[in-house]
Amino acid sequence: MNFLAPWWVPLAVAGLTVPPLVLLYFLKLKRRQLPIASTLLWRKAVQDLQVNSPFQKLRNNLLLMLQLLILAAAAIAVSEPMLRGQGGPGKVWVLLIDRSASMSSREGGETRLDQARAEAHTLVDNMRSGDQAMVISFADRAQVVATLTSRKEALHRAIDSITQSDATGRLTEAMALAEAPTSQVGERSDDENPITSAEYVLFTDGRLADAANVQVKSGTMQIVRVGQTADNAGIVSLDVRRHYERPEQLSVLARVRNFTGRKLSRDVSLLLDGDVKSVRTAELEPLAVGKDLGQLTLGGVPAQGSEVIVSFELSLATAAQLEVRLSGGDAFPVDDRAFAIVAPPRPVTALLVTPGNRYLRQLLASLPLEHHEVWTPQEYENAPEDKLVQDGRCKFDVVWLDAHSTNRLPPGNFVFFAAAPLIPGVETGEVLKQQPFLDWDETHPILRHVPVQAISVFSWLDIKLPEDAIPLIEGPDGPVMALLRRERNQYLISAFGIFDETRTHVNTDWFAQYSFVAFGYNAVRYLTGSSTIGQQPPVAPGEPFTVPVKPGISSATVRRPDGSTEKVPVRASDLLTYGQTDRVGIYTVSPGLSGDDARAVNLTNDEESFIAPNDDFRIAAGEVVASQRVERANRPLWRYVLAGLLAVLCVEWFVYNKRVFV
Amino acid sequence: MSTAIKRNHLLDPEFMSRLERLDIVSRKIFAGKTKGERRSKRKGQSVEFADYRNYVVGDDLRFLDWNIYGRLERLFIKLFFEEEDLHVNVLIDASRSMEFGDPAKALYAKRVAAALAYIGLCNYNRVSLCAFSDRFGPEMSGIRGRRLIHQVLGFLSDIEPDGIGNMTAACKHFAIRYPQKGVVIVLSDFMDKGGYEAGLRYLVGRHYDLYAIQVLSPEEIDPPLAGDLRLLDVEDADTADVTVTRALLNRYKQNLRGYCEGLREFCTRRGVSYLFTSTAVPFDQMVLNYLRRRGLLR
Repeated sequence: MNFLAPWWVPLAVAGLTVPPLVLLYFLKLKRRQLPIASTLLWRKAVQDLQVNSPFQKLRNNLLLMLQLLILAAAAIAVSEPMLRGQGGPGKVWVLLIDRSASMSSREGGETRLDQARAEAHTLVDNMRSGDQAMVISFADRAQVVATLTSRKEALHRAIDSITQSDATGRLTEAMALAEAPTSQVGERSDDENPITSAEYVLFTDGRLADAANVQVKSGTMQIVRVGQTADNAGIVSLDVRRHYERPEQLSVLARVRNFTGRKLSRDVSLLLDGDVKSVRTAELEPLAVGKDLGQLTLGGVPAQGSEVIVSFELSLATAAQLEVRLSGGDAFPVDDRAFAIVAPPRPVTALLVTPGNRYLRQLLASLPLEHHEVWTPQEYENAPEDKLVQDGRCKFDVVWLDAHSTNRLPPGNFVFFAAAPLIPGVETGEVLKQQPFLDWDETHPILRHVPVQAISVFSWLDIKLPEDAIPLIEGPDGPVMALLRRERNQYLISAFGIFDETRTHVNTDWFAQYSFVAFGYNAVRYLTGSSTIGQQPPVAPGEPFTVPVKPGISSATVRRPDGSTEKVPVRASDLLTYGQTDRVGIYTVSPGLSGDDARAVNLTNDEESFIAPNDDFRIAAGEVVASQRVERANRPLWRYVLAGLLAVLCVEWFVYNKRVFV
Repeated sequence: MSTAIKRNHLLDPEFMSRLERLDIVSRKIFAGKTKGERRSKRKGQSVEFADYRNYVVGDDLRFLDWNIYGRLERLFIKLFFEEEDLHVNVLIDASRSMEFGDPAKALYAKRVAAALAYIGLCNYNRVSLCAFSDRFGPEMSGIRGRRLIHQVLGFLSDIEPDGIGNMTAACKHFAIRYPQKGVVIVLSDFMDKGGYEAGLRYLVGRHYDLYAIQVLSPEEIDPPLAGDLRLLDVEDADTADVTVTRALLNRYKQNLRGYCEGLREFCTRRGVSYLFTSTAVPFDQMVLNYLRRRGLLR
């Protein structure tokens, strides 16, 4: 048995309380005087009792003894006795606490994060002297909330400070953070400190998308799996589109999915600026019948009837904030609401900058644009600012640049053919000829209905792009078509043009295919979709978003979904970037540009909405021990001491009453 | 509590009439002072024939048995039993401890003494009443005849319990002062810190027909006490600090039983009749039943 309190605490308590108690017993008891016939027999009786009792002194002062016993028990209780816990000397614990969206699932009045915190507290209580621990909380990003320390109060405080996030759970970064300090400890242990490798304890419900990539390089990982319920149905995607040809017509498509093992019927409501506009009922089949949901992975389960797409059509000629709400409570309310910011309808305009390209002119002419202009490269470069730029943005929604690389790139959308934006990180090299397309992303909206394999291209430029560029078509040496975003600009770069570098021969047969028109349609729609046709690009919880603000201001206020506000500095390019998007809802920036001052943060993540705890949780490599809970090793004994104290009090009460009421 | 009570509180007339049928029995035949209604050791002039003896000069010729002389021609004197009076002595403990109890032990003792005195007076016995505490007296000695019962009742009523009981001195004094044989009845609680043995030995030594009647109150037999108390001895103001527990009470009762048993055994060994009574026992029942059953009365 150990005592948590220092040795002097019980001594001090005893020193303060025992002498007054004993002194009290030196005071004479005030006795009631009673006349009797003779004290002869009474004296004899008292003497007899004293003589016959082997513990006569004890009997005389039984009350004193009982009270001394009580004081001793209290002194022991104050010293916080503990039964010796388990574990070897000087362990290093790394507590990884999942605070992702699924951990907000509520069961039995508390969330999974609450359960995880409680288990973590138990583990900290179990720590022996010499043990050290660090606490890392993670959702999409990891954060060290307590560095390696042996101070339990600091660890308890750190555990309590962990807040819920609505972001998805990713373990990789947390493990990277965890392994850095523990490896230092390991090095130190080689010389004087006998600390062994770290014990990683992961508190999670097991829904971590990247768990299969995580490796435990040294030490062991214990997984404390919290949560039991799978009771959830949620909105897993939300798509809001304006009709391409009738921009005032709005289509809202919400994908609702049942993650439970039973059939559900849920009302899906559409709210426009807080008012309910329409309600649909979604009948949802069970995710899986007769199977243990904890053993399932979403990838292995066909959607069947468990997923329903609910569509709403409405006419909306203004900007608005949309909300789709799923009725009926479940354990995981985060995905029962999804938000969208709808920009006002605006007709699309385009500019074609080309030394002469009738195929592109025909393409633009075929697209449903309000109007388009065709400039030569010289006209483009020499055009006065007001002809090209309006309100800090390019006057044209999409600028098509044919065989003209330029650095005149006002905020806007650009499509380059056989050219590239002259910006840092983008380089053009020599012409590569007669090479095949190796790979392409046919799922990307720009390449929808575009059979890339049917396109023949004779040559293209060797373009080096930054790593964050999204390749759409790849050749042997690099991207052939890619999408690059830079601040408020989007660049769709095609390394090949319609004509070859001499502009005397056509370079491709693409213009003769219907997919060329489809590509043009897709490109305009995709590039302008965020600002003119439909909703603002969706933001996942934890991801930063960027909002343009009025030129010249140095800071703006972000109003979060819970109503709190935060002052955020604005960068030089009149852009505000905000990263604390850990809760779903609408984030509004003020002062912002009218119609473009808010962003919606939605979970819309199948994996995170599938809250059934993962019974089959695995990591890539390392020793893993799974458990449901942390066993309490350091059992506090003060409760038992207190119970004993109460028992003694009861005995005292009994003895006292026995003496008085004969 | 004052024991100076009215005389008719000691004995009421109806009870007195029931007492008149009783007589005090002496287990021994004593020589009395005067002629009485009780057969004496001595031969005398009663009607009951006792024996013959030879005539000697000087004998009263009236007691010659002439019928014998006619048959045998020898002179025999007829002897008759002498009937003499009986000394009935009642010793009453008048120490302050006798004031204890409800009713007080002293009152109870006085009633018993009055009843015995009345029985004695009715049977022409010579009745003496002596009170004692730390000193001997008051006393009323040698009265005879029922007409004096009022004096007896007055005497008893005037006895005021006071002082510390000293049985040894009292008995010694009594033995010296009352050498005549007779019945001696000691009414006391026998709670004498100096001990009762020496006193009783003095009485036993005088060959009295001795009766020891121990009177205790119910409060002494089963004390209704609880808690932390300072017990004050009403006689000598001695105090005893006690915490009354069940164990202490049991021990007290055990000691009391032992004390009484010791007294009884002491008396039995020496031919003394011992009677124990509680003031809770009705006084008339005590006299009419208990004393008759123990052979003091008939």
